[in-house]
Amino acid sequence: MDIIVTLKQVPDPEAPKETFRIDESGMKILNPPNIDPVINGYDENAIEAALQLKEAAGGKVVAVSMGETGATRALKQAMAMGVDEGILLQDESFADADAASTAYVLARAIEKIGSYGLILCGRQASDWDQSQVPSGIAELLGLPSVTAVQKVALQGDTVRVERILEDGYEVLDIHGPCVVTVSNEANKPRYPTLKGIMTAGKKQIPVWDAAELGVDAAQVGSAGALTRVSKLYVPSFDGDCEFIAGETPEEMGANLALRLRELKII
Amino acid sequence: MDFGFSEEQDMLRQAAHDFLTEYCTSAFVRQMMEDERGYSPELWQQMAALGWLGLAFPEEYGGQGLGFVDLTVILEEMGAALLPSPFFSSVLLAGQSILLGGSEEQKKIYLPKIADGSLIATLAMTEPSGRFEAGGIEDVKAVPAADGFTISGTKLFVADAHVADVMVVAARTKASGDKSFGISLFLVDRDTPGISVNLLKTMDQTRKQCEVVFDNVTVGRDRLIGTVDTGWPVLSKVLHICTAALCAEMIGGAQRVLDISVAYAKERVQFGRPIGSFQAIKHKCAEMMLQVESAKSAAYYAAWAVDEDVPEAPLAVSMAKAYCSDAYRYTAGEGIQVHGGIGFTWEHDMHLYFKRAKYAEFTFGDATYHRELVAQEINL
Repeated sequence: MDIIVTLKQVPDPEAPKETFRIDESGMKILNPPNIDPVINGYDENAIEAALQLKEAAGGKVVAVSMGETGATRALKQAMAMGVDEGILLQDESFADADAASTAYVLARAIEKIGSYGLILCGRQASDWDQSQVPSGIAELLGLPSVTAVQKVALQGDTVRVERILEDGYEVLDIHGPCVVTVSNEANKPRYPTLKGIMTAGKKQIPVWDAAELGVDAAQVGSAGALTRVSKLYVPSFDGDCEFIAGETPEEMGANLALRLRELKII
Repeated sequence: MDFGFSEEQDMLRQAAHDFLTEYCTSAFVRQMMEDERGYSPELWQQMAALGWLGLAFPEEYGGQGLGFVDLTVILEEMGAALLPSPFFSSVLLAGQSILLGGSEEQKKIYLPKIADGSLIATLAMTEPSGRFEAGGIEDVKAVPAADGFTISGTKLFVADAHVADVMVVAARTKASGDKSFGISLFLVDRDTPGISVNLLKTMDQTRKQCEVVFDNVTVGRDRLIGTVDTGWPVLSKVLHICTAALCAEMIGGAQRVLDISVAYAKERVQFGRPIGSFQAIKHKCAEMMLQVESAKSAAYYAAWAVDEDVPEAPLAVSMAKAYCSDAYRYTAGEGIQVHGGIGFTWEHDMHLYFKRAKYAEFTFGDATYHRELVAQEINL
């Protein structure tokens, strides 16, 4: 079964917290300077799930990502892990997309790829954490979708998944092509081998623009966005230090307990 | 001018960084310091599966056929993580000796096993004199015997000999006025009768070193690398390669010290301000940055020169080692100062970097030794 995996590049969550920057007026999260963006962590789980299915049952894994030129890095990394092909969706008109217009472009690209039995996505992206794009893709393609799975397996043409619930999980069988979002419980993504890295380095990544995808200009990027961000800011947390007085450590301890009770902390 | 790394090398660096961040944590390093073996066989096999151990060997010997600059990328990350493993001794010291001097049969026997991690090798070269030149190989002698050679003497500071399956032993086979003549290299199994290996108590416990005593150890003629008495040219080239490799490790460690120190200077608040805002700390960090960046330039140039095997490679390597020896020790020392009291504690990692810096400073010759070599290279 051929599998399509969607990828997003996000600011490196391991970057030092003091490098986190936003553009309040432009309402954007800025990538930290000198720190390359990385594949969204949950998308790596989706890649790993796809590669395990491929190893078990054959087929081809294609990764598709909408983004700027830097997104080729994510696609190359996916190919270094073992993904067969990568496709970059890039056009000036795709800029400032929200979940709806992103899902639209990805859905058109998946239609263009044509051959697939399963679409795997990460559960959510670590920059905005909205979890909306996969469901949007499923809606636009008219496919069933299951979110947040901890296990995905193929049984013939049926996809069997374990969907995470608050108090356990449920097992679902899905017939025919479907969209499944993979959670971090599903697997531990593999590290690219040297051979994988060198093979990926030699592969070309086709770039599909708006014309190639034949998309409706009114539905892509900011023009097609259904959400409007009204404010973006970094909340401030002010600390205050109060010294507890006392003649002896025991007295200081007692005074600390009294103060904590006064503040209704204990 | 573009001195940047290729896209593949950037990916390799990221993969190595991520892998070592996960598996070579401070807790792991400390565990390995206490462990007599000093490395984890499981991690060793994982590194082999990723292709790291065979990176620089040709494909016909089970390697990946990549260059020394690619290896530099991984070594920097290993140095940054203080990786305790026999990588340096097996892949570089012994692996390169076999690759450069070994017969086709020896290469086919040993290199694929080093590359897949099933065999650990090392180089037994240094002796109690601690010299890294031909004249330092005096104590261990090999004399012709009925069906090969008999080796006797003591080697010191042999990396990972206690876990090695096989050692490349540099022995004096002829006493001559020209010390570079009369040295021969032998492949000797560690469990050969007459060999005793004693683990040394050294300052940098992330890297184990041993004393190896040879007491009438018999090896067959087929274990000779190259021809009798002509081992030094091979060994000399191996030392160039390994010195450049050590510089790569050193700049990785120095960069990590700088990163840790700058992060601490931003985070640690005294008198209501981060300590990085005080000129005393600011200038320390700036000087560390100057030294690290300059060391990197020198180390990368050495890596390129070794990779291309250009005539100026020995000069580039000695310039790099002279600079990196000073820069890593300086950076690690200043890193402790930036951290203040906590930098001096056992719990903080800074002392591990300082000890590694001191180990690396003297390995393959210190800054003074390499400045002398630089002077010789410019005909002084």
